[in-house]
Amino acid sequence: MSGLPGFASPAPGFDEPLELLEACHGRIEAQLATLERLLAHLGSHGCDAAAREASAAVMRYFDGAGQLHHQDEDQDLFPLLRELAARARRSEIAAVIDGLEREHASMHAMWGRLRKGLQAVSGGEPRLDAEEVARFAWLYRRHIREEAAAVLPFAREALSAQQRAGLGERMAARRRIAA
Amino acid sequence: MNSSAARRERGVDARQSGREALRYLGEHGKESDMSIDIPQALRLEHEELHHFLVRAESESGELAEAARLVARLLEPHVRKEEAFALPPLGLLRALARGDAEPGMAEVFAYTDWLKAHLKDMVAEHHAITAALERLLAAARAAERPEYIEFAEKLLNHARLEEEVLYPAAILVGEFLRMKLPRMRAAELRMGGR
Repeated sequence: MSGLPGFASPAPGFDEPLELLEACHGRIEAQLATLERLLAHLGSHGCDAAAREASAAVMRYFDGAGQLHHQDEDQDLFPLLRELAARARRSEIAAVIDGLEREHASMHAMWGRLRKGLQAVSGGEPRLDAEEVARFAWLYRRHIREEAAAVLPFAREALSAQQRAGLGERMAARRRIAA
Repeated sequence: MNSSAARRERGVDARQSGREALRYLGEHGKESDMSIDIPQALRLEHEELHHFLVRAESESGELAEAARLVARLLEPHVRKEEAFALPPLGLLRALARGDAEPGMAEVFAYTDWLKAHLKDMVAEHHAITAALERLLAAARAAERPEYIEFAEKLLNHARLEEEVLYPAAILVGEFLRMKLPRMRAAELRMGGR
């Protein structure tokens, strides 16, 4: 799996899709930390080679693996969980999922703006909006916390082995297409 | 670099930029009121206050010391305001007209932050207010009416934020949560782009 986009370093396999999604959260956090360090670095060093490299790495992640992660959730995990939550009469889970889906859309819009700044940095122009970085990082971190607190525990409780296998297969297929 | 530091580095004269902005509005009718952005009037007020503070810092003695303390406390606070607390107010006019659209859901990232950090923001105001009282005393002792007026204006600005602007920003989020129907990600993306 190491050759697949979004999973460059060792991670759980597609036979453990929920663990894999959780591992993605750790990688997202690492990218957010890079983004924040980049901002500080630009203030002290300007658009040097390290800044351009970090900027390119963050773009690569959120353009690729980050998008795939959202697709895993929006297209596969959330619809499945919404259905299971309705059956189990867990309306609070459905409400959290609605909120998380909405946040994916917000993060997508924020990323579009942030990306322009990163592109400028890659081109040697230190034009990264600190306010945009602060909002993006805060929203992403809260989003991850909510998923970890409510959605993943419910998924572990509610998904059958067969459903987990199906989810893992779709995630793998998505990355084969993207590769 | 944060926006106010950038402004300081560029040496922007707030009054000048204010005049330019007003001229722009005169030429172009009005700025967009469908975006999550700080209303121009507030941005100009922040710039003017910042400009005056920079001037006070260049004075000497206790006046300058007190101004520097205000600046030190104000800088990170304003950065948070400009990132999270004030941009939701840019939607007020549109919402008052009844124009709510799915893309506005992005404002929850701002208003949820403000709700979660409201106590901290108010606590920071208390520290800033104490520093402003010192500045006010220094301005009175130095018989500098322009700085007395400035400190009083800034004190009232903090009150305005606590009593009106922060609650209004939070209400923008609360209102939209009630107003916007539940929408799936695909629909929201279409509206949010």
